[in-house]
Amino acid sequence: MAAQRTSGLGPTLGFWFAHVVAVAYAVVILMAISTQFVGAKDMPCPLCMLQRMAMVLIGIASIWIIGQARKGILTASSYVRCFGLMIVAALLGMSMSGRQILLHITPGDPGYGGTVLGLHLYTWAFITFAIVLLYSGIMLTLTDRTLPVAPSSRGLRLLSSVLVWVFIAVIAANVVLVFAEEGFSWYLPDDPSRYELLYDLGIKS
Amino acid sequence: MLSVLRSPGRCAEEVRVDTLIFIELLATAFLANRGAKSRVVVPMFVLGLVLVALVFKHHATSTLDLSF
Repeated sequence: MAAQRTSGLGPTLGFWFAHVVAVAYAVVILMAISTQFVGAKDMPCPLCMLQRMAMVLIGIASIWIIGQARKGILTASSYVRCFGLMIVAALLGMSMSGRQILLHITPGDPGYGGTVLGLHLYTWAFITFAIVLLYSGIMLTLTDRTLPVAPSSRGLRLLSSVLVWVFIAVIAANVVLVFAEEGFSWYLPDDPSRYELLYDLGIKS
Repeated sequence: MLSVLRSPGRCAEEVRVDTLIFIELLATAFLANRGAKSRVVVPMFVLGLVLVALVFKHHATSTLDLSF
């Protein structure tokens, strides 16, 4: 069995790359949330919300790597398992964003919501899921060289905690926002245009 | 608020699917951050994944209420 590196650049990069995935998706979701309140004020449709969930699942797999590394219990098999979960979530996310792209593929269809750098948010989501697949493939290939090891420095461990908690705070924000949008309905409406909770509670009529 | 839950067409046990999925994902994230064991995190992750897939199936196969 090949020896695994427990120090050096590879394990350090492996540890911080896991943070990059979680923080990148936290930023992407925060940008998506900002479009709810700024500019066009687009309400997220059910497919948009499902893609956010797939992003959250990928982030969870990433922070599990971080959590285990910080506890010093991360093994090669659990590292590989995290990437397995990440790949499944990315494939699910790709199928959802791919479907939304196909819903608006006909010529003349303006697509759903605004654009960022000329592409709709669901097209960007598809690209990010493809990047996660590529990232997972590379990291799995380099498992024995990049098995993450948490830094011993107190400052870096604190930084790691802060970054992970930013991601968890973004999930908590989504709990509040989706409840406001969904109200007491079973599912989100296909084409949401208002915060149902305000109407369900009689705050707006 | 209770009158909303008891209003016609709705029942008190009714759950908000997307909201509950995000709560489930939040709980999974808490456990993952603590480096919990795989026998805890993996089933919770898979549960979230399956719920997301089922809601996707619901939206992908539901018929639109169109009239021309």
